[in-house]
Amino acid sequence: MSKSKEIRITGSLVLLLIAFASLSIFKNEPVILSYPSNWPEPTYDFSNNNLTTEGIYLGRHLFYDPILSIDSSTSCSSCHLSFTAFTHVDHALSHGIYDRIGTRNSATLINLAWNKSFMWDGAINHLDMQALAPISHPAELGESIENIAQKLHKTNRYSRLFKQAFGDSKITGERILKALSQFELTLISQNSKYDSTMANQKQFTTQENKGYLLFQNHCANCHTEPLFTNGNFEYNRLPLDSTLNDFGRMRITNNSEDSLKFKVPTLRNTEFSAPYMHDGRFKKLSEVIDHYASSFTSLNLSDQMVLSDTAKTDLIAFLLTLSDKKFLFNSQFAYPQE
Amino acid sequence: MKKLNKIIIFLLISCVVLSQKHSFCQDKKESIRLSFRITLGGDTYEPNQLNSSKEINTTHIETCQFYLSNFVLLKSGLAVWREENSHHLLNAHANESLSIALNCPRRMQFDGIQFLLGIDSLTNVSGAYGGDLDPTNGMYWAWNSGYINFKLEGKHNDCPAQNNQFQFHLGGYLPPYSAEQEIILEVKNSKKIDLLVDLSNFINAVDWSHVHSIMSPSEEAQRLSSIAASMFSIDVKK
Repeated sequence: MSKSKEIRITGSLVLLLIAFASLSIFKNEPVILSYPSNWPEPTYDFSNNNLTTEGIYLGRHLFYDPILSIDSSTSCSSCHLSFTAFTHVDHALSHGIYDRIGTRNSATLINLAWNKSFMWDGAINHLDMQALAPISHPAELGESIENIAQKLHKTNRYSRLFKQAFGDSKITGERILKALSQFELTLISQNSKYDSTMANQKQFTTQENKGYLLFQNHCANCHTEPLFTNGNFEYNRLPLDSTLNDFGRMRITNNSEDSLKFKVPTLRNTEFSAPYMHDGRFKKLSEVIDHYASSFTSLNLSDQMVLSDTAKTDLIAFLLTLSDKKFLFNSQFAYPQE
Repeated sequence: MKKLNKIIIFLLISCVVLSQKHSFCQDKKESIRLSFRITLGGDTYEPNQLNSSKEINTTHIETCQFYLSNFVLLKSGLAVWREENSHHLLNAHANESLSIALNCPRRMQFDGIQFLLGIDSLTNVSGAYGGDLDPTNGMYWAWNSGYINFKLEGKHNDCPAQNNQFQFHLGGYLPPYSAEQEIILEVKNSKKIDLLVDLSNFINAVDWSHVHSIMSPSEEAQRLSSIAASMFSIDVKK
């Protein structure tokens, strides 16, 4: 064999070796979530579902795709709109397929990595499994995860997206759910005026400051900073709505002590997440505060919540500092244009 | 140059071999095979059979699926080996699922086998899994997190429901209604172990006037789960 031929063969083999080596070490682009250093550690176990750009991309597409519903009319985003804190504004109770009305108000999707449980009654114990509930609810998406996997399998687009995210185009329930989780975990709200003030980058106005003090005295036991929820189930003296007969946490635990207890929602972006409470009975923040001011004589609070009209306005002024426009208008959270 | 060629070829082959290392590990020789035979009224249950001739009352099984997990081999009551990622979904209508291979070290000495009927509580709270645990198997409650440990659906003459239909979805991992059942059986040290799952033990214990549908964790689900555990024994017929 001539020397030049030897060199060509050797060179080809080397290139082949490099190509093979690069394929075997190819990995998706990992994503690490960032959040303020004074926040607690997330509850979510990322080791079981490492975030990648490709996984988040797939999850976002699934989140906005009505293929998840039985008649392809309704997607997750139908009740969880990004511009309004991922909730369903102007709807006390959400409607799903065929205009069917549910029994609960759509919850915001904010800082889910820190949740201990999901849904107003904590029926779901892990973010990965949450999507199964609306997927299979007859008044929401009315589908099944088995059918969704089959429908996605028939599309070229999702075969490609699953391959990008998971290495091969197999579409399983596990992968659908984990991709959705990956997208939802990125929905972190940490850039409100409150956050900037706590970081000494901005200052509350006098009114906001007064509102903050009132908040700490009357609300912070349940709406604990910095997540503005303690993640627990509490009874806040809302009278039972007999048209719904929703006893909250008791449905899950069968414990009478949990009667009428519901999970404390975060107050972040509350300016944009009306109507309020598990059944959306209050349209305005002022109604919420009036309820607390009139209902409570004592409930784990340092003193009775007696508020003048001025105080109520101050409290609302503080609540407005929890609005985070960077979160609400983040194009990475919104409907994927591409 | 020839020597360099040989080195490159060697490296290339090494890369191929190393990348396949994972699949080599998967091809470990199985050591012990568990075969489950499902019976109803003394007869081996065949998916297409309509009723059991030996039963006084006609029973028609439409769905029979259950999880067996956390397999442990015992010697004098002590654990000598535990299966990793031990979750198996058995389906009376899928013959291939009724055989489980336990890949344990060769010449393992044991005289007992222990497993759960159902899924342990830790797995129940740890999110989404694939394979037998994938939620597309229809064995996970969408509206209230948790696996269905044992699903039995069908018809029984004595069942007062519409079309004599019964539906038992037994599950629950939270106290006080945790429904998974630990089963321990004495076995002979063998590479092949035959186990019996006698559905009659369950069917005959049901008071149809009292219950014919269970869809959530409860005291009744727990009680029936305990009865379901009594279905399992060593198959002496084979």
